[in-house]
Amino acid sequence: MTNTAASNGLDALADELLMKRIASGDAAAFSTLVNRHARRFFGAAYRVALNKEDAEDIVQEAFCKLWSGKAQWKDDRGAKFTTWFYRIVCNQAIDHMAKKGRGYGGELDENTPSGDANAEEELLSSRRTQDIHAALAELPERQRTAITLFYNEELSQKEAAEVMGITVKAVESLLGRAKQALKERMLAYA
Amino acid sequence: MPSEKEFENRLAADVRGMTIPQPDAAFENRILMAAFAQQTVKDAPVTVHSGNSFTAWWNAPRLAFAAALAALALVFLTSAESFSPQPTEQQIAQERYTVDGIPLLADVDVAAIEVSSDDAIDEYDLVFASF
Repeated sequence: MTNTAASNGLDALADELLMKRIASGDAAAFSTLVNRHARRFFGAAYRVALNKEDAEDIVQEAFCKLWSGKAQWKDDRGAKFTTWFYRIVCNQAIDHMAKKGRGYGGELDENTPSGDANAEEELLSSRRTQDIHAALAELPERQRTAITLFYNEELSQKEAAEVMGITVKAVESLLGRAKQALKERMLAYA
Repeated sequence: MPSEKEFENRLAADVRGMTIPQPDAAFENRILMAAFAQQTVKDAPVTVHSGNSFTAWWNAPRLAFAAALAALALVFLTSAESFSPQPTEQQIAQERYTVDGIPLLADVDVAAIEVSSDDAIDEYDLVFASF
């Protein structure tokens, strides 16, 4: 599908232009957008859901909403596609986890890959990942979402506020409380 | 105890460095298939109503079924008529011996009737055995 998109010149189009085409039912444009962003948003969904299968389902549902028009992007507001879609993914994550009837903090995937060749480093890296995982899992979901958007996705506080549909002040407050809670937990794990 | 700044940097590094598993190789295809399948189901015609063209309506399976049913009913009725039972002797007699629409033999046993002639029956020449 990527080849088809490339041959159509869709790969060169900005997300916002692809979205305009998708609004008129252009399946190739949708395919290009999925291939461009699915893995990036999987990372964001995983950091919120902390489970691979859930993260895959969340991203799939979010893209299905986009394609079916249930989630409508309005370019006249000047919002970037990625900022808008983070919001869709975050809301989808909250809905998904609520439907599953459990909070965040699934088990760490045992097959989580590590890029380290050295076994000792790999073990330490895995241990640190588990600690971070456990500490994040204990946070309320809005605090975890704020941390994910700010540190992982490297959004500004203003963008994070836009994604979460809250004020910048509220994001600051969420980040402050999350960092305090993480600090306490990380020190306890150390 | 690390300073606030040191902790912030370490947290950022740890959170960013958190190992994230890769989704399945066919992840993107799975998304596309789910989205397009959903669209196909949404767009599929559920019923054909009179608002559509006659051709579409004519082609609808329900009309073909109704036509087949009507044809079957016609065949059945035609057959039923040809195989209907013959009228009884009493019914024939009641039809023949009627004056001004009033059946003369309504309460009479046909077997007891004697007629003067089979070919030229005059209702006034009837002789009732019971008289």
